[in-house]
Amino acid sequence: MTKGYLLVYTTSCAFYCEELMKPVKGMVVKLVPTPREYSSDCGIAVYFEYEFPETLEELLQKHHLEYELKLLSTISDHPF
Amino acid sequence: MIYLDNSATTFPKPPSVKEAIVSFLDTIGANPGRSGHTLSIDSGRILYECRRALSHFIGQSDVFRTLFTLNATQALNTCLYGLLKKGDTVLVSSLEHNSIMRPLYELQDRIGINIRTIPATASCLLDLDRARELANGAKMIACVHGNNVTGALLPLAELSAIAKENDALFLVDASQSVGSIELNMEEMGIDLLCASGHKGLLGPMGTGFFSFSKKVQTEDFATLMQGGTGSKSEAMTQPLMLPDKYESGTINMLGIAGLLEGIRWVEAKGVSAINEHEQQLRIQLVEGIRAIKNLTICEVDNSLATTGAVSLYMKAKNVSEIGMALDKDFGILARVGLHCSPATHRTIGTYHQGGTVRLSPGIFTTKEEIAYVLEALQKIATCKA
Repeated sequence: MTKGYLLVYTTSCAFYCEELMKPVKGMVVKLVPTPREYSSDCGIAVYFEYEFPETLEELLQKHHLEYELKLLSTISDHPF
Repeated sequence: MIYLDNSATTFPKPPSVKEAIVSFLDTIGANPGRSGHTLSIDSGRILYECRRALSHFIGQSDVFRTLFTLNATQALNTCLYGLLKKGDTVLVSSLEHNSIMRPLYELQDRIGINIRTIPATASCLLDLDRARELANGAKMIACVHGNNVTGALLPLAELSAIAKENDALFLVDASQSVGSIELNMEEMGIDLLCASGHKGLLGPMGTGFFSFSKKVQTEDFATLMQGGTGSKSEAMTQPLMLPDKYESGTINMLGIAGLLEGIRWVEAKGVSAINEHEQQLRIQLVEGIRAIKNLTICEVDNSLATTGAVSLYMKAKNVSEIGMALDKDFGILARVGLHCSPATHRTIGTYHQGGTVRLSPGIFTTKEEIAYVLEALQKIATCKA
């Protein structure tokens, strides 16, 4: 399972990502405060857990969304 | 009391609108997009849902291109000031509200734009042949959809085609029509749609919006205001991403929460059902007024569709007297005067008499109320005092 954050530039984009990702089977998605170690553009980030990050990126790019993907390397990075 | 001033703002609102506002104030209350905490996210979600619902409602496929303002006037000012540059030509109708004309005259004085006007008959029929001539070289055609004095709906399909032929932007003020007339900006070739949220969409006052097509390049569309957006805070200049570029400062979230429920209510009821109801009331009003001696109705050409609004006057009494009698003697609330649209009154010939009495029923007006209004008008028209 891949875990990570999408850093987005507007809160509207965060909600749009959430809307696109929620229906995807096997996807865990949650809007969270942007982790301190990352640049905080709009205050919230999209946390996700998903097996196929490439598919996720394809989905986001299909909708011309601007984001930065930050993958968490180990299970211990799980923030919740 | 009978409220017939729905063209100014609709009243009453559906109960769900009030409930949403109270609920927001009681349980959320936070600023969207300014923090990452739970309530800020809840607030942001309502804002996003409203943006999405509104975009869908008006036929805008890109949700980020629908921007909230405090009213239609702010939306129109944002578009006109943001897009027009020195030497640009704008084509308007002779039936425009001050919310389009005043910014244009200001721009004419400040930076030197050219304003051309499409003539119209007293029954609001535009001279489209003349419009085709005048559109040559225009950067924008800007017009109202529903005229707020007479209720006439301008021929958007023809004007849109003229704009397209001339590669001009097509801006429409749909304040009087959105929510009660079917609108789809992509299908209708509208490049910039501006409107109130507190009229046909049944939201509270303090809500408005504009939405723009992909023909409008954001790099050529300057902001009216700059400031805090909750994004790109490290930058000293305005962020360029949508929707933040055009939404500086805290959003009227109480208004947005109410507007979202207003849109949902209209969608559940159906625009065609709302239109049918308002048209039935308008027909009842028009036929009733025509039958009253001494009253004159501001007729709209038979070829034009209308909103629910009707204007009238009488030679023997000024419009203020009629308005006061309706209010004080019969409890009927109407708007009298020039309705912020002196251009319309000049066109239809009612400017020098001080305008008209406008009766604008809404979705909650009943035919029994209209019957009572007609009885009241009959009494006022035959009363010599």
